[in-house]
Amino acid sequence: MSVAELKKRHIAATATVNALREQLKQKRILLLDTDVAGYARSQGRTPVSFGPTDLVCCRTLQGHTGKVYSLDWTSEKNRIVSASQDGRLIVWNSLTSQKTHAIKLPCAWVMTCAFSPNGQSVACGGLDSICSIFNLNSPNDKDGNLTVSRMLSGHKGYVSSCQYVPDEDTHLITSSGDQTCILWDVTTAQRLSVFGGEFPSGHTADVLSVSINGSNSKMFVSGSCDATARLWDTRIASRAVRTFHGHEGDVSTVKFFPDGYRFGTGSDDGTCRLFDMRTGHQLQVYHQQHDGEVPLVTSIAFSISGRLLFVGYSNGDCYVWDTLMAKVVLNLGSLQNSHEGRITCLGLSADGSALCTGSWDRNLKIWAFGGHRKVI
Amino acid sequence: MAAVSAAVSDCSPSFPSLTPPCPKAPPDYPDLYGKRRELLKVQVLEREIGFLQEELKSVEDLQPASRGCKEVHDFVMPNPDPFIPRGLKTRRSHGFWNWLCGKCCFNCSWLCCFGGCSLHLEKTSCCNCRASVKWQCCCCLKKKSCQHCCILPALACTDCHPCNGCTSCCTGCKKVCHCSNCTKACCNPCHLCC
Repeated sequence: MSVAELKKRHIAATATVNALREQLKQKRILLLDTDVAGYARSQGRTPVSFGPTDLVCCRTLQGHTGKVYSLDWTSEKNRIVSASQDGRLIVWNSLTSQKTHAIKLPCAWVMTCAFSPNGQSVACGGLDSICSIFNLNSPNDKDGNLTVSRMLSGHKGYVSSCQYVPDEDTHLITSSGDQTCILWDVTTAQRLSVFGGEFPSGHTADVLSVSINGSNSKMFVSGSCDATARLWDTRIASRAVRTFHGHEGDVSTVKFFPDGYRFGTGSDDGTCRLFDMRTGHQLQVYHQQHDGEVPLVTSIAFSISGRLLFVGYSNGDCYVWDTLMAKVVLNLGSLQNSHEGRITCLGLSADGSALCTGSWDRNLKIWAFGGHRKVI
Repeated sequence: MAAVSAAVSDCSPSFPSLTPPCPKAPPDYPDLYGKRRELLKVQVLEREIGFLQEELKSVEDLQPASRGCKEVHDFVMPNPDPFIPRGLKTRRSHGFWNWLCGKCCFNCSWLCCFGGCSLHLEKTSCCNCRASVKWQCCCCLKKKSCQHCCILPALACTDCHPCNGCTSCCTGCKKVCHCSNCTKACCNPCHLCC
């Protein structure tokens, strides 16, 4: 077959794909008989109501000299690792605000960091296309720096996000600007599986975020500049289990819902969405009207009950959404002592009692319930 | 070309005239790289067509979205949330309190000193509160009324080497200070110079 004939086949196949996608979209629309907010209203629910001092900033972690790009909590002991434009990772004791480690990175252009489940190692990645692992218990070198214990090389583009597989200190998943995600064996630094890429059915643009299902660690979801989120089974690298359409811009952040059957996404189109992993339905859109430029969603996290969705935006706002009623119930960005710049990352502590936010203002802040509880 | 030939022949009449070089056109090699790329693209698309057709069939049997919405609602409603204020009955409050008390750091009582004592317990006072309400003592250092309640470790910058005469550059300091409110340049990770 000649190149010209192949090009004709390519055009025809593209048209078929587009037609099938449109058919699929229309069939799905017919199944969207309600959304979460509609159902909650039908059950007589009302939005969560916060008083002016119910959520407060109770810690400001100062020490980075550049924009904070990423943060992660330990699964216990309330430590946080943060990554910054200053080329360092800092490990914090969040209760005391003390810094326990300050790690100078071999490549300053870091974009992501993560704690291992046992809290003894941290991983980071960025423009060097490598995911570096540091063992926090290792001795420092002669210059007083912690040395890299493993370098996970293989991506052909920047490492945008990384997460250890829950309860597995030896496995980690990364996402990359090379349009793939990789499952790594940290001990051997080998790639166990590559999700996406040229031939396998995967993302068609940079992958920006991953989130592993806490209830079923074989499943993870990725978000990409191709405006889709994809669900993957780590046992099947050849194709995504499902592709989730809906967003109209880069999907910059994804996070599983606490029940393990849904996940949230955040996008440059300014909206967040809740998708059902098993059916593919878009269950809810979280969108606030804006005059003028629409702020980008940079980061999301669900509270442990799932009732609240914390969303960081490029304009410094940090909305607290009532996930059931699809209403903004608080803006942490308007509270006293809030950040002075874009929120780039946020995360809940393991027990769900605190939210940490990171910002271009070089600080991290911890937010918790500061209101009154009356014991009856 | 003709001028060159003439010049050569004029200067050296004893040498035979040389034919100027005439590069040949490149041979017609088949564009294998381009063909393989095109074939690959077509295969990817045809595979995608297969996946979409499968998905179209599976959508026929899908439950409507209301089922998923109900599941979300039913999951969320019974779950307590540390961020959401609720009126608690006595029995449940002990359970919740015990859950908070399980998180203790420094063996000290992190008392509820934000905005005065924000936890009003009928039977105990702020100072007797043993609960490690770990996040709420952020302003204890500032409030005199809280100081007799809040037990905070008295830390000093003992781990830091003083930066002799240096205000912004700590070439000698390798330590990370453990004082939460230390402002010494040497006691924070030295970014500017080290």
